Amino acid sequence: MNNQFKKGVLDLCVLTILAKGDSYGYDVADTLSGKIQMSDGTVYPILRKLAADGYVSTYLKESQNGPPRKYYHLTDLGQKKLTEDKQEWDEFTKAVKGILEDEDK
Amino acid sequence: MTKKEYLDKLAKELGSMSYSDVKDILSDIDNHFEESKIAGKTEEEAAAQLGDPSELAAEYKEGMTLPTILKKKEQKANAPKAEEPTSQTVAFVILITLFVAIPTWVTLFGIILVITLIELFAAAGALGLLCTCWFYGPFLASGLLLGLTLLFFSVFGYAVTFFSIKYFVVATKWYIDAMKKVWKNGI
Repeated sequence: MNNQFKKGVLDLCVLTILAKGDSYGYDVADTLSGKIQMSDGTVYPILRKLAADGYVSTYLKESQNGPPRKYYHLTDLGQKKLTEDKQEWDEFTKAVKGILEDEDK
Repeated sequence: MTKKEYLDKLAKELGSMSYSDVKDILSDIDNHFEESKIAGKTEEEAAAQLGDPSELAAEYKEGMTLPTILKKKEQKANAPKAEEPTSQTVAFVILITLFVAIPTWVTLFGIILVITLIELFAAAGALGLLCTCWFYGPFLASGLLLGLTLLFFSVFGYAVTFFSIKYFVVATKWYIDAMKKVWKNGI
């Protein structure tokens, strides 16, 4: 899929994953790249930007067999953004679908 | 590409960012390599899945149009101000109120009270004299003059008292508001 296309939606995907529970970078990257064709690296700039904007907070947690993991936690602000963005996305995809179906006729 | 090669390339591409940002980013990506290793991937595989380091660097730069430190300052400026008065402010308000405002207030109140009492006596005197004049003709001329003078004095006095009380209340309100402002915003 074209890169520009994905970029806007990935923020929404990352927020959604974090809404299910706190997670660390590798796990988020693994979950996303398993479903969407993308580079693993892409989630890191997104997570960093979300943290800088206050949508997620971070904390370190020891891991059993590797270095301490940086966990990301969805803040109240992030939860609000997720709700708003999801609604916007739903409306947008519905509109696009409507247009595409019209074209098919 | 090995982990070291990948991180070196990424660091070089991130060149324009601050040292602490670059250090932070490299540590995130380093950890990703470590997690990949635990998951059974080679460094080559992990590097390939991460994507081109220069592309990754570009994505980082895109997200950081404002330097992180500026963003933090912005957030601070937007955050609601703590309304906790400093000890200096508290001392100022208490000292001024205790040693300047309250003595001044009590003195002014006393003066107004005394004036009001004098007015009361003057009014009573005027009334008494006028009544006396009414009953005893011989004192009429001089008594009437004194009585009218006293009456005029008391009416004038009441006007003065009325305005003093009014401005006394206004000044007290202004003082309380000013102190509230100082308490909230500091000196």
